[in-house]
Amino acid sequence: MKDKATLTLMELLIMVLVFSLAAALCLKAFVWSTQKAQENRVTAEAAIFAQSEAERLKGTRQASEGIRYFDEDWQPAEEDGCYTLTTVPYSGELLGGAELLVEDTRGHELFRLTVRWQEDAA
Amino acid sequence: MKQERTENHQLGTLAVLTVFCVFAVCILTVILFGAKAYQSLNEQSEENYQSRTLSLFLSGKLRQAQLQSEVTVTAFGDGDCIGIPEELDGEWYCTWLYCKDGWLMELFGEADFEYEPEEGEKILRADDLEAEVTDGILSVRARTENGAPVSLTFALRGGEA
Repeated sequence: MKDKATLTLMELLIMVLVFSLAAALCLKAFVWSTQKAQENRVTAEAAIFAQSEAERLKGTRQASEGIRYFDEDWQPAEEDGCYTLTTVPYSGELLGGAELLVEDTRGHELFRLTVRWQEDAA
Repeated sequence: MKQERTENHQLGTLAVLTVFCVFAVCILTVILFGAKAYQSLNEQSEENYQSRTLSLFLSGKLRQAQLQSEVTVTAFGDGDCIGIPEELDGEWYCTWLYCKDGWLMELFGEADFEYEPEEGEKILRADDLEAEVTDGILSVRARTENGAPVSLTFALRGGEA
């Protein structure tokens, strides 16, 4: 009787150990998937924001070099914003343009977009 | 002796039951965590889909317009309305994009005719459509079904090739 109880207990303990190993892997996958979904959401928002900014530059045809900061709702913010937009203008003979780079505060690139427009003939 | 054996047997059973309960709690915890992660994944996917679809639909409609410079913004439905005129066989028609009762609506008809907001066709769930044209740049703001804001900017180009 005693041996049976001990054997059952040992079986249960081994079962818990194996389950713990599997659960650790599953939990790691769940955390990874949640983080990935968050990254995808931020990337999609960065893409929409960069496209809107590119349209604005195409409309005004004026690109000035600089870094602008935005909060989590993509509204202009001070230097402690969540995201940064770096504009690097391009000036050619017939084409104007700029390169837009959206990054987060850790410096990770979220979205990069090159915009070009035809300059008015002189 | 018999009592001692009985006590040992009870302790053994208690230990087994305790380990089994711990095992059951661990299983439940992992399942609940997984369900929560899956739910969060689905919600973010849905939000991405709604924002992206709204953005692509509006940008597609505006970019295929023949005369982007003639795009107008008026009040219609539950907020602002974007009017995209076009000429077909000598007659002027217009495509109106507006929100009504939580839906983004599209109405295509003669430019001079006065329509009712209910006559449009439901496209997708959206609300609080706001638009303004400033110096040839159309700014559009709307909210998806989940309340997430979508903000777009379009440079309206002239239609002549």
